[in-house]
Amino acid sequence: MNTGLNRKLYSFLTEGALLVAIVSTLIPIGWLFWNSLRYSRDIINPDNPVVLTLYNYKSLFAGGSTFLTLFFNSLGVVLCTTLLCLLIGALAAYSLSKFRWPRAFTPAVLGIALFIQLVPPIALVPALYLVLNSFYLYNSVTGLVLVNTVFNLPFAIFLLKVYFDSIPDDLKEAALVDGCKEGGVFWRVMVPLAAPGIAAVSILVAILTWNEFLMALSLTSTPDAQTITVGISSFLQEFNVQYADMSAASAIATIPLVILAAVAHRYIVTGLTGGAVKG
Amino acid sequence: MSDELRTSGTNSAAREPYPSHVKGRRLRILGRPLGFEHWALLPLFLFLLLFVLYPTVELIRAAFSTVTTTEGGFSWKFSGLDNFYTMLGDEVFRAALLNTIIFVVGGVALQLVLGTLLAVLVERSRILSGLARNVLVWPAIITPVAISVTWWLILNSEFGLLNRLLEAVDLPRQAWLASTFWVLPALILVDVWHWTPVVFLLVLAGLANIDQTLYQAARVDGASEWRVFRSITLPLLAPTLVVAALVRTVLGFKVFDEIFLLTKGGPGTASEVVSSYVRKVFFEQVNLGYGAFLGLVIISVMLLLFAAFFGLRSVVFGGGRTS
Amino acid sequence: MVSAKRRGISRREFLSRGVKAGISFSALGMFLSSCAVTGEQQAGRGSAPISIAINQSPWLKSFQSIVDIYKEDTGNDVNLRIFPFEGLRSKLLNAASIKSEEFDLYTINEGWAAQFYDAGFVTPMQDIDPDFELDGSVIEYDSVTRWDKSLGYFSKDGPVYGIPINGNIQLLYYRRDLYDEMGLEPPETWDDVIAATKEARRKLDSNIYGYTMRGKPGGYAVLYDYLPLLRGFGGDIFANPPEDYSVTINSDEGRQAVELFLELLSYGPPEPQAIGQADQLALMQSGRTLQTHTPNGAFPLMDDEVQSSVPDKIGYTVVPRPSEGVHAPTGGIWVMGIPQHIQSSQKEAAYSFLQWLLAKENHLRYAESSGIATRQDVYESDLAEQEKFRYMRATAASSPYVTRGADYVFGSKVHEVAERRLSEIAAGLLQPKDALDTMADEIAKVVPNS
Repeated sequence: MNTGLNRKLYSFLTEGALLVAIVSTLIPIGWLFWNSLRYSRDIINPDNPVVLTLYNYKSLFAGGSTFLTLFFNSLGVVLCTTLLCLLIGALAAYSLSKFRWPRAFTPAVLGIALFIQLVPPIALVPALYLVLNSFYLYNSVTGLVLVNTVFNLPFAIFLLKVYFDSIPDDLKEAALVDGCKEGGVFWRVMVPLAAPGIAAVSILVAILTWNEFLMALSLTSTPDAQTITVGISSFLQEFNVQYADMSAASAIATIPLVILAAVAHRYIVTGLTGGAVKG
Repeated sequence: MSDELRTSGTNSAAREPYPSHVKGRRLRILGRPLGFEHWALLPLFLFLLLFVLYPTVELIRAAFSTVTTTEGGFSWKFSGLDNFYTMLGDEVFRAALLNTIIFVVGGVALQLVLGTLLAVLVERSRILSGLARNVLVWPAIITPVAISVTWWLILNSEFGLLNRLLEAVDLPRQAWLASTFWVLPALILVDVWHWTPVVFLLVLAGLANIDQTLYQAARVDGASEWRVFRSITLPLLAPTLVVAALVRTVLGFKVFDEIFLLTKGGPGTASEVVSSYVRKVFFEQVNLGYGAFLGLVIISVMLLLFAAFFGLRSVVFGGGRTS
Repeated sequence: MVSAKRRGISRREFLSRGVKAGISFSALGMFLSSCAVTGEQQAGRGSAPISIAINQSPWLKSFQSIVDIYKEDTGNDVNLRIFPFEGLRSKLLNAASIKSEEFDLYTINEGWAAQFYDAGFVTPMQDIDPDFELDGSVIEYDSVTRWDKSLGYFSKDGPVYGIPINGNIQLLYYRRDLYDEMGLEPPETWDDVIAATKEARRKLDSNIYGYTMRGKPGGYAVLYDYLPLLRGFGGDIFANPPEDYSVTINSDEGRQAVELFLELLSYGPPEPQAIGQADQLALMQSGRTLQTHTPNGAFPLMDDEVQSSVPDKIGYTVVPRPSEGVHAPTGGIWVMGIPQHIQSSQKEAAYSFLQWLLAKENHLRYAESSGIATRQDVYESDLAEQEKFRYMRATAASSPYVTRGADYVFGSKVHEVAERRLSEIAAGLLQPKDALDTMADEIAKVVPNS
């Protein structure tokens, strides 16, 4: 029987459990940021002195530091990868969605593209190293953009295709009858209609690319091309872990994502779930 | 007029050949003139050729060869199934495979349970749901490298937060990342913290798709909350849960960043997973042929998982629908 | 109906054309990769700029300083390609495998130097300059610099393949302020060390870790710290490499070593299997441990005020010996090798850089920027008088005793076994005697048949 007291109890438990969840999510992140504001020697001190300082952040952006370069490299890789993924992905998804292909063709293409998601990336590193080297693209932002595009394309195409599928074919017919060429139909009719999907895909690709680590680590050798993830890992040295620098660098890598999450929350959710549920 | 004659997506006359007056001027492929739809796929095909086909061919080639270091370089020699026999005798690989399975099964199970729980809670909550929806997503989007750093600062046995808290309440410290017993549970904990939000979002979306009238009808009939959940919510959520399980399983098999940064597969082989082991084979043992073979094995396992998923899907979805 | 004749390309033709295109494409790829050059090498012949592959480490800054001085002095250009510590070896293997011109100098750790020398990845110095000779004051760290191809091993008389540029050897780091408080002399033997430990626990702080040893397996960590104990008693992993690879790790000396190992561990952190190098150094920096042995390369970290709570309080001395045994600090040095396959103009440029670096005046400047020098006369110079460089005396005193690490061609396999088993011993998971015998069996299995 649902008495008023029962309902209040349920409500209390529900909110309580959620509070626990929220706190468990925030504690590790908070500990990270907290440590980024302390000196290295205090982080390892068993007495845990509380001395707050901006020293770590200052030294990350100080004269000899390459951190700023890494930050902008990450930004560049993210922007270009997202654009490239959208371009290639939207074109391919549109083609697969709105045109007639032999029955096995579409699943086959999607399958091959998705294939790369199944392979442990580490196994592809030697071959990718060779490919990039052949085009003088080893240790370059361009090279990373290409590799990241490859890894994100299957997902982008899949999601965009779902969005294009949901646009009625009649619109295409109508536009063609009105005198639009195929290309025009795509750019002027279809793309604007798929805008929410495109937004969702871009945000997800951006997040995945910003976070990418293994390829950036293996396919670059100097700060000219390295990204922020490689920079953070370089503080975790065999010899000496630079706790404070590492925390500050991680914090800086995290802040843009947290802001993005707050601002573009809707698109992230749609992006993560859109394809899966409908598919 | 030629626009009308060109095939479009839904026109069932697609199989018919093109009228002869169209054929003459255009480039052709497989009997059809090259249209927008072909050019649109070209960039994708170029990418696939360069970055998927070529590396895969190299991978297969290496998997059946022995690659050794010689005077200043590498030499290839076809060696058939030698790598296969090596794998059979490789107890580290067996351990890595076992660890990966434990990691994936344990992690995914916990993620499914927690994710569903959180989604249900958020849906019913009034006060905290807005905040929860935002904050609970964060672990899934934060850089994995930063997450490794975060949890390293927590799980480190000398300076980590966890042991400091335990000491403060007089409980015994543990070597979370260095004990053969605790290391996998610790890594699963990190993984669950990291990826539950994805399941959470998927289930949330799935819940939103459930018709509310079903609930109302059940409640009017006097069903208890648990009954409602068990007989209505869960069955209708099943497709979503299957998708979530598949996505997390496939991604779980490939786990690398956290293992590499937190434990490097240690202590011993207690947290060695397939990705970290393949890396060791490639870059520390420099056994390219064997590493490639292991890569192939992993791909096959994933393909099997996928096939199993499609089998499950037709059962759960009620068959027939293509993506 | 259109007949087959009138269709465009038949399906079979299309596929065969595609396959041919695919094959020729990969052939093109291989060809291009074999002549890949980076932009820098193509520019300017006069001062042949060189690229050095090096890793992140505490001594990187000092190396960067000396490179800047080199650039000023000679007007030549040097590019440092810095990799995360873990990644350097795989980078070099990748580069060597495709004969890439990307680097002109490889920074090689002695732990895997054997592999590189044996595979012919780097060239003997004499092949570049027939009159090459290593200055007598350059420390050779038990011939890690030389290799005999026919023996397949390091040899005192073999040609020089690697120039030592970072003389990392183990020293004992100890809290000299606490030793003074207790009225004790710097330790000479392990008995002195243990006596100091007990005294510290009694008089100063019952919670202090008297001695810290690494127990966390990490490629070549636990074994590396264990070797001075093993060799101090006169034992070793093998009887007499390269002639005799019979395993002796479980000999009587081996047993004594393991007992000492366990005793030292008992004075340290409760979970030694969690202590890696970073943890060990952090314990020293936070004042949590009285003493430990670790490479001298860490000395800048001890006096750095941001990172250390005990600046100026650390003293250095030679790694202790058993009362009836010998000092046996293990070397863990870094050499630089010149790749075999690069153009000769690049080889010469790299060679002249190395010669410049080894010259005494330049090497002194290297040590002044906190580089770990490899010349004995630097360690005996006036620099050693400075407080900042107080580690130099201990280093100079250690030179006669330095032993090579477990640096066999198949070394990584030995490391794998030893790391795992030693760590298990440290964690108390295995009984020492059984563990030693198991280790001996497993190591015997990885020795390649000669």
